This record gives sequence, structure tokens and C-alpha cells, in this order.
Amino acid sequence: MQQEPDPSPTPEDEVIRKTEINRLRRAIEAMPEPFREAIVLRELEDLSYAEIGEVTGVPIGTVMSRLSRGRSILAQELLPSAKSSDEASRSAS
Amino acid sequence: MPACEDRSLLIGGLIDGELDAANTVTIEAHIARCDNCREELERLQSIRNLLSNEGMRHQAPDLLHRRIAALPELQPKAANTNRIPGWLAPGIGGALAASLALVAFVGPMQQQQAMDAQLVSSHVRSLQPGHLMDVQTTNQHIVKPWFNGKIDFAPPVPELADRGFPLAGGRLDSINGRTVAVIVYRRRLHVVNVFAWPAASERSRLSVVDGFAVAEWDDDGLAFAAVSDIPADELRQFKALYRSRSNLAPPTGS
Repeated sequence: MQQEPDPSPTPEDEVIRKTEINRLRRAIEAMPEPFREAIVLRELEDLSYAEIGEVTGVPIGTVMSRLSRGRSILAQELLPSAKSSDEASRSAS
Repeated sequence: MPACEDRSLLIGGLIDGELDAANTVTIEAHIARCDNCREELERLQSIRNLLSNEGMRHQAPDLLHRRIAALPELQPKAANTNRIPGWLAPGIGGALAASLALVAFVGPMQQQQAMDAQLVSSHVRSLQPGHLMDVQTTNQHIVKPWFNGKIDFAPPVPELADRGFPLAGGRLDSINGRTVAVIVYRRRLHVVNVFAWPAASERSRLSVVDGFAVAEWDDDGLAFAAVSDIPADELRQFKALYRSRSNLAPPTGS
């Protein structure tokens, strides 16, 4: 078990947290519609694939590919490491 | 694209706990061998972690909420276990890890956690096709007598349909090697399992294990544990309803 210190958040922490949330929201808002819808339903509303399919009126396979594409878009936007690992794999090949 | 092209959908499915057993085994075996796909899994998981931030919840627009609310009754969600293979994330190993912990070292805390993990894993198991109910009826006067002769105690089966928790049925289950009664309720698309067994531990708590809310309480020499994937607040409400209606229920013949 890891011991986790639990200091109460400073105003600075709070600002950082809010900035982070704004960054996430902007990234989601910037996504093209079908991908954003799938991501919001899955990640923020916790719907299953079947339920997302029902809400959006598409087959489960389409739900899966939209989620996959949506997550790729978000990863590119939000994870700085994505680019460097791409380059690493390119130089390795 | 770092991940193998034909695997990326399956990796997503694994993250979401949406794969069947065969596909889960296949993709886990592949990830164990393929560095690129393992990286992809970690990438997807970090995206999920970012989005699970508290401040990000409740972002779905009203229109979407209304469309969700208008959904017809669907099948209960498939088991959401095994989102991440244990070897990748020991901290999220879940029910299995906690069950192993019971064998490895049994302290009071571990016992409690192991108990919760058993309840959750039993709940998850119950959601698999054909496992949920031994007796399937919305009538409390059928569920209650059904337990007679199968167990040596009589759990209350209050009617809660008017408060949004219709009775679905009952079954026998085994927790800690002991036979327990399970009364099954529904909440919209979700299932609430109420486990009951004779015990007097005088505890009352609400915890969240692997994303499942677990509410425990004691009444009249029986221990109860309600498990569901509905929000913890709703389960607390369910617990209060169940307790108040149990006490109001007229005594039956036995």
C-alpha cells in the first residue's frame, strides 16, 4: 500500500485544477460531432456501447470506431507524450 | 498510429469492459506481447483518467439527457470488471485481487475489503445471462415464501416500485462460504442486489468498490448489503426506503 499524503488544496492547486478542466472541456468541445457525442456518452455519462448505440441510432461497431477515433483525437490534443513516442517508433523502424 | 490497426477497437472495448471472455483473453494475450498495443492501452487509460476528473462530470447537454431519459428499458449493463489487466495496474486489480488478499493476510480491514469485494464480484456475476434470478417475479408475496425451506431466516421483501425500485425477483447466493438470500430490484437500466444473512455486526456504512456502490446495514439480527452501479446517493436512498418499508411490512405467517 502506498502512503498518500493528503494536504488540503492550496488556492494555487485549485487554479491548476480549474485550468486543467478548462483544457479538457475545450478539447472535447473542439471535437467533430459524432466523436464528441460518443465520448461524452461513454466517459461522462457512463453509458454502455449498447446504450450509446440506442441513443445515437447507430450499430455497436460504429460506436466502437467513433470512440476509438474520439480518444485518438483527445490523446493527440491532451497527451504531450504521444508525439514523442510516435517519433521514437518512426526512428526505430 | 502506434497500435496495431486491427486491434485498436478491441483495446477500446477492453478499456470499457465491453468485450466477451474470448475477445478479452485474445486481446490481453496480444497486449502482453505487443509493446505498441500496450502503449496504446496506457494512452487510452490516461485519457479516461483525465476525463474521470470530478469537474468534468455532468457535462452532457440537456438535450442529450432527455434522449437518455427517454430510452426504453435496456438489458442491464454487462459486467464491467477486467477493464485493465491486473498485471498492468496492480492498484485496480479489483475483486480478484481483494479475494486473494483474504487468503494472503487476514486483518480486520482486509476482511472488510474482502467482504466488499466478494459482494461486488457476486453482483457482477449475477449480471451475466441467466444468473440474476432463481425466482423471477415482481410480486413480493411470491419472492418471500420462495425463500422458505431454502434458508433458515426470513428476509423482508418490501414493495418499492412506487419509488422507482421495482422488485425483480430473488435468488440464493454464497458469500464467505455462507448461503445468503438475495433480493433483486431494478433501477432504470440498473440492477440492485440486496444480500441478506443472519449476523449482528451493528455496522452501517456506504463504500464504493471498483465503481460499484455498496451499502451495508443491520436490522433485527440480519445483516444487509445492497450493491449496484447506480450513484451512491441513490443507493443511500434505496437503503432508507428498504429499511423503512421493511419495518412497516405486516408480519407474514411464518
